Amino acid sequence: MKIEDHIIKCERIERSAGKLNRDADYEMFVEASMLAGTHLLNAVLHHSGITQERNDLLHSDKPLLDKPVKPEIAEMMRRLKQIEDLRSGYLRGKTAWQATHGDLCVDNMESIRTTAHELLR
Amino acid sequence: MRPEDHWDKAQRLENTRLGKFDPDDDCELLIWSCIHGGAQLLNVILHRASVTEENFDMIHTSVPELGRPMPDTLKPVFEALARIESLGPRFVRGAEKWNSEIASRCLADYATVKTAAAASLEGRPAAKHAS
Repeated sequence: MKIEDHIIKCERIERSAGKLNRDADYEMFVEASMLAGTHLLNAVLHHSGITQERNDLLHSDKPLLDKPVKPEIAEMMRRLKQIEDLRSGYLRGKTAWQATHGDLCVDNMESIRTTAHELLR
Repeated sequence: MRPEDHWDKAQRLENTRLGKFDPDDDCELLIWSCIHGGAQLLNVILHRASVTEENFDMIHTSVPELGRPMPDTLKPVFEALARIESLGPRFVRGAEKWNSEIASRCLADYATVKTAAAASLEGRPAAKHAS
């Protein structure tokens, strides 16, 4: 997908996520973070020439990249993976929600957003 | 996970959708909620029909592989959920143009899956309610 479309999608999803209570709606809060972060990662990967616009990642490690990435992108992927790792317990399981994981989503998305904006300049 | 727990998780996702999302403004998360709520409901049906054990949960209609033929009676449920899942690549991961008819169809398919899951929790054959 085109870089600008990834950014628009991210903005739409984050705007929708702004309607959520991150404790009461934690499943969708985690999912929205994952989806928005993935769009930003794809935008950066396309912009840096690591992936082409017809080859989007679905998750930070799916599909695996066949090229090395710069440390800033590796850090984006690490932070996105931390969000993705919450899904098995909170979306698909019945793990009791911990508010600290809401903080993790907020902090990691802030970092991903900041890095994306820097790399896309 | 137990059928009752899958049902409760689907209800939580539905409550968020109904309370927070506009079908057009928030179409991405509406679809996503239906995809994952629908998967929870599918597990209710499969566990109650003894197609899968409680330690084998489906993530999507085709993930993981069922490992056995799908009962014909459950095809309408699988087909409804598969139609919902097909919206993900187009409107959540992709940039296809949205319209309200798609939301209506998505919610109708979700209702099909939910009705079947409710019936199976009550001990009635899911297929009778999965038209």
